[in-house]
Amino acid sequence: MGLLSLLRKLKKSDKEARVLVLGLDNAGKTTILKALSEEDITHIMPTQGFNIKSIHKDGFKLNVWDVGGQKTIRPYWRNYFDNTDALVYVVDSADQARLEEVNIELTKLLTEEEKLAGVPLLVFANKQDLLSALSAADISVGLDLHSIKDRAWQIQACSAKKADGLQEGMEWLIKTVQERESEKK
Amino acid sequence: SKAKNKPKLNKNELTILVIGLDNAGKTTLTYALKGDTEIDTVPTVGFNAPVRIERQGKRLCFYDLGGGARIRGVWTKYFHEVHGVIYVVDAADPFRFAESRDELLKTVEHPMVVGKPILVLANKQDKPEAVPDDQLISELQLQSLTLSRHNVFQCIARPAENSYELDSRVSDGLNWLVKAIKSNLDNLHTRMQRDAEAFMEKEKERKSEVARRLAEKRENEQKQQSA
Ligand SMILES: Nc1nc2c(ncn2[C@@H]2O[C@H](COP(=O)(O)OP(=O)(O)OP(=O)(O)O)[C@@H](O)[C@H]2O)c(=O)[nH]1
Ligand SMILES: Nc1nc2c(ncn2[C@@H]2O[C@H](COP(=O)(O)OP(=O)(O)OP(=O)(O)O)[C@@H](O)[C@H]2O)c(=O)[nH]1
Ligand SMILES: [Mg+2]
Ligand SMILES: [Mg+2]
Repeated sequence: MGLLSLLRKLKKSDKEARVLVLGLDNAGKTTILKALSEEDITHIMPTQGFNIKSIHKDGFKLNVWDVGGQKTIRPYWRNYFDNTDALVYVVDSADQARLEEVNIELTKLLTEEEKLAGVPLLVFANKQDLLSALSAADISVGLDLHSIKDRAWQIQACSAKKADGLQEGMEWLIKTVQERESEKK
Repeated sequence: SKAKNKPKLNKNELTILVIGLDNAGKTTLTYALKGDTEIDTVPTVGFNAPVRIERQGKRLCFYDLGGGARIRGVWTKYFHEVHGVIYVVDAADPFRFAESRDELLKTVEHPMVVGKPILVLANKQDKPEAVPDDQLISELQLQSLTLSRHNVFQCIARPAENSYELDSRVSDGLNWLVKAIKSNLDNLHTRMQRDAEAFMEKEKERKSEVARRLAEKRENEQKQQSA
C-alpha cells in the first residue's frame, strides 16, 4: 500500500497533518522520506537545512518535514516545532555506540519542548537490514521509551533501504493523529 | 537530597494497565471506553496515549500497551505504578490460550503485581468460535487465582459488533475492578510507593551498567586501533 492510499483512509474532516522527522545525522531520515515517496535512494547527501514533502489528496495535505541531524544543526530543530501533529524519530539501529546520545537528544525534545507536548511519537528503528542492528525492543529499552507517559509512542523496526516496515509505521501514525483529532472535537 | 528523588504517587487517579496478547482487543477496548466507537485499530508496538474517564467518583487512567511477542517485555516496566490490571483474552482464539495463560500467570506472579486486582475480559463473544466461560477458565487456569482479587467477564469490546455501544459487561467488569481497588486503597498506595522506589533504583542500576559496558567497549576499540 502506498502513502497515498493510506492518506485516502483519513477522514475528510482532518484536513492537514504536519509531521516532523528528527533524529541524529546518518540515521536515515531523508532515505525514509524518499523511500516513502518511492524516489531513488542511491545518492542521498547529509541534509544541511531541511527537506519538505507535501502530499495532497481529496483536500487533505500531509506535510512531512525532514530536518538535518548534524550536531551543529540540532539547535535549529526548534524552529520547526510549531503545529506539529506527529513526531517521527529515526534511529540507526546498528549504531549502538550512539544510542546514549540518541536517548539524551530525545529526552530533551520530549521533556523540555512545550510545543511538542502530547504530540504522538513514532520511533523508526531503521537499518534493520544490517547484521549488527539492535531489535526494536532493545532500542525501546535503550531509549527508555517506557518512561514516556504523556503521549502515544510506537516503535517500528524498519529498513529504508529495503522499504520494509515504513508503511506499517505510517499507518499507525495516521491512525493516531486521526484519533487525537477526534478527541479535540 | 533523597526526598527530592522520591517518585510521586498521584493519589487522585487510579491507574489501570490494559494488557493481553496482540490482537486480543485492548486498543479497541480503550477507545470504546473513551467513547470512540468507530475507529479501526492497528497493532500497538508501544504505548497508546492514556485514556482517562470518571468512575465511582474516581478518575481512572488506562495504559494500553502492545501485546506482540517482541514488545511484551515492556509490560513489567509499568507494573509498579498500576492499581489494577485488565487482562484481555480473545475468547474466539483457542489456539493461543496456552500462550495467553503463560503471560497471565507471569504477570499475576510478578512481585509488583501479585495481590493486585485483575479483571480478565473474555473478549469477542460475538464470534461463533468464542468458547464458553468454563472452558476458558480451565484453559487459562483461572480457577487457581484468588477469587477476591480476580474476576472474569465476557464481553464484546468492538462497538461495531455491539450496536455501536460500549458493552454493559465491560462497565460491570470495570465497576468490580474499581471496587476491588478502592477496598484496599491505603495499603495499595503504601506498597506502590515502595515499589516505585525499588523500580527507580533498579533502573538506575541498569543504566549505570549500560554506561559501564559502553565505556569498556570504547576502551577496547581504542586499544585495538592503537595496536
Ligand atoms: N543499510 C542501510 N543503510 C541505510 C538505511 N537507511 C539509510 N541508510 C544509509 O544511511 C546513510 C544516511 O542516510 P540519510 O538518509 O542521509 O540520513 P539522515 O538521517 O537524513 O542524515 P542527516 O541528513 O545528516 O541528518 C546513507 O548512506 C543511507 O544510504 C537502511 O535502512 N539500511
Ligand atoms: N469480532 C470482534 N472483533 C474484535 C473485538 N474486539 C476487537 N476486535 C478486533 O480485533 C482486532 C485487534 O484489536 P486491537 O484492539 O487492535 O487488539 P490489541 O489487543 O490492541 O492488539 P495489539 O495492539 O497488537 O496488542 C481488530 O481487528 C479489532 O477490530 C470484538 O469484540 N469482536
Ligand atoms: Mg537527511
Ligand atoms: Mg493495541
